[in-house]
Amino acid sequence: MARKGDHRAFAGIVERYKGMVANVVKGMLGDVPEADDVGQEVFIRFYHSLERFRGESALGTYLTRIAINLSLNALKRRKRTLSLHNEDGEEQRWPEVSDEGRPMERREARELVEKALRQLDEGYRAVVVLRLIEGYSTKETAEILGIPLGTVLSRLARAQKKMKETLSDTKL
Amino acid sequence: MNAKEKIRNLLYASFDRELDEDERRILEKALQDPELRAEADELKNMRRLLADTSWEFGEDFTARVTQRIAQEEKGKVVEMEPERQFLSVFRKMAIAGVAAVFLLLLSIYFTSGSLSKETIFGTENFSEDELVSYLLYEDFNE
Repeated sequence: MARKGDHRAFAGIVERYKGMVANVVKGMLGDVPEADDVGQEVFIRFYHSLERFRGESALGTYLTRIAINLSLNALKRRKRTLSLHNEDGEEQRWPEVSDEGRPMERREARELVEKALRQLDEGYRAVVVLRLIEGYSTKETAEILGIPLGTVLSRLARAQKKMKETLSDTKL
Repeated sequence: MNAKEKIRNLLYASFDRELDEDERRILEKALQDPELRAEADELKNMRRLLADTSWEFGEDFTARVTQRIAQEEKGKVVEMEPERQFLSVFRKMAIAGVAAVFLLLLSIYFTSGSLSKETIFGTENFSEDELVSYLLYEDFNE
């Protein structure tokens, strides 16, 4: 374990888990520069809490929890900033996507997913990111978000219905 | 909620939880309807698309993280709020004070063999008159 001061071992952890953290943070915030900053903050927070980390949960789950909390905080900040500039409070910092109903390249597919995720409220988006993108079980998702299992299941169902409407015009 | 909506909900639930025997039977029967089957396929495709989605951070992400940590440690100027700063100093002083008192009591005990009030105040050999003089700040050596 990379206890404080062992930068090389810590860099190994960052290398290993950065993809997972990117999925959570960018799934929540979109592929914007702010997401990279939040990603860095996730690992820095983890570094400072290394001595408190006792390995009771898996390292990946621990990092996911930090990532989701920091992303939700970033979304709150974003909403506050937007409400100052935009009366609708609508999120506009995610890249706009045009889909033309043809087989998709990887990047296009990702952008389409972002478009669908953007339609969801944060609570629903978090459930989709953890369960459907990161592949956590519904029980783990409930634990990470600190919500009941029933809420996870109902949010999943509603989120999928909404996303399906968004994606329905596109050839998946 | 109508029957069709209930079946649809069962379909969505079937991907994330174990259906009981009755629910499974109802759904299997309902899936003979081509419209619902098409919806199930769309749902599967959407879930596959989501599961295949991945993002990456920009170049040199790891280097930037370790650099930021190194910078923080180099500066090491921990920006503490005034109350936390006071509490931190107070805690250190309190610990030092308790340790000093403890050592003093320990040395009294080893030199006088007791921890009575008289030995602590160093008045065990004083007569009552001497004590009165002592309390009145008189120099009883004179």
